[in-house]
Amino acid sequence: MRFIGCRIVTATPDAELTATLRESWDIPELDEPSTVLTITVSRRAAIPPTIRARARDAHSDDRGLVALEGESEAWIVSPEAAACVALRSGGAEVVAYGEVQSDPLPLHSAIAEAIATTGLVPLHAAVLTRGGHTVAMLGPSGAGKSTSAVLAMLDGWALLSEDAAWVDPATLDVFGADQGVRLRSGGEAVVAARLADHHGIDVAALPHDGLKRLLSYDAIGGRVRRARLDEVVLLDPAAVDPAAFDPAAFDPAAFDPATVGRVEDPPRWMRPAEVAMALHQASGIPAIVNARTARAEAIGRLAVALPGRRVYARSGSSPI
Amino acid sequence: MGTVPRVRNPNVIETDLGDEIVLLDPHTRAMFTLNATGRVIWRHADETIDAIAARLSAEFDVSEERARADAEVVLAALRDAGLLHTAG
Repeated sequence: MRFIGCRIVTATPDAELTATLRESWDIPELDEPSTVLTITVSRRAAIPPTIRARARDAHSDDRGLVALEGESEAWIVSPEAAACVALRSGGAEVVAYGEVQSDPLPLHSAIAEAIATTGLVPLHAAVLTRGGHTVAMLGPSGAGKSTSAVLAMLDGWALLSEDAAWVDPATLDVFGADQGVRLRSGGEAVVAARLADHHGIDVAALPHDGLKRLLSYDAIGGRVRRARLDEVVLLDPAAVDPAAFDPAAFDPAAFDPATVGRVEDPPRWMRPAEVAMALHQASGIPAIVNARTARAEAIGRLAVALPGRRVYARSGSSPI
Repeated sequence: MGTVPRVRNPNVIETDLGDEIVLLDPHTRAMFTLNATGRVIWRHADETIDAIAARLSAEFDVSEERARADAEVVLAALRDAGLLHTAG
């Protein structure tokens, strides 16, 4: 499997593990001519008791994952599964433990930790492109990234990602890495009618993972896999007022993610330091401690190279 | 007058942007920005207040008295944020 210059292999033939990995990490469109990092993946049955104990005492993130940091080795732990990522000379090793098939998130997070050591910056972002201009929309969960991305797509923008992308700070190439669009109930209400009109999609019939509806890129005309990033837009939920949002008055034809905001508060250009802080929040903190300085340097390069605007989300994904 | 040595939190992640620097505490997830003056204070936080004031005075053409006052404010803020510890 090839993913932006990384080669991902299993240590031994393992059809189940390979199938799990292929879903997220085998993207031929993102193949690069040279291999920067080989990641060898294997699995073991049970999560070590010492790791379970350490994870119990640690804080989990909003996905329910605990990161046990280490200098060159780290663990990502969920209630039913875990993965250890270790940097070795010549590559990285990821070992998955526990219920990998039913809970692959620790495994995928560990692989992402390894990939990030190549210098690529992971971003929790909706990335869109139109007319050669590519924008990464950042913001905390619930700020309106997914809803804004779908609305923009309906208005002629092409999606690279709704939730997960990678950026090369040396070239500003950005790569879409997620599997589809995931909408919260508030976002559904905003986009349902237009998705039905434009694509014949019944949002209420889409698969639901318990939190969000899952909308495939194929269903909305496909996606772009890579582009050159031009700008960062931070959706600031601070001024979101769901009670003030009137869906009947919303004009999606006038929506442009590059200019979204309240009329009386036009988008504000951010200083590089503000762009850097937004990028840090969007990329997370490496669990591998030795990778943190390089991540900060990469973010510094991006923050200096990319203009950034702070806009106020017209509405978040919170219920209206 | 005795001084209590200060040490920078070794876990803090720095992002240097030229005019400003962003400090990220990986354990609290808190972030702070420092301007050029603050950067000098942060980078030399383990020195005496007089030494820091002298650096600021020389670099930014301000009186040492003014520099000392600014440094004390910034150092206190960095300490309150957990970015500076007392050594020993």
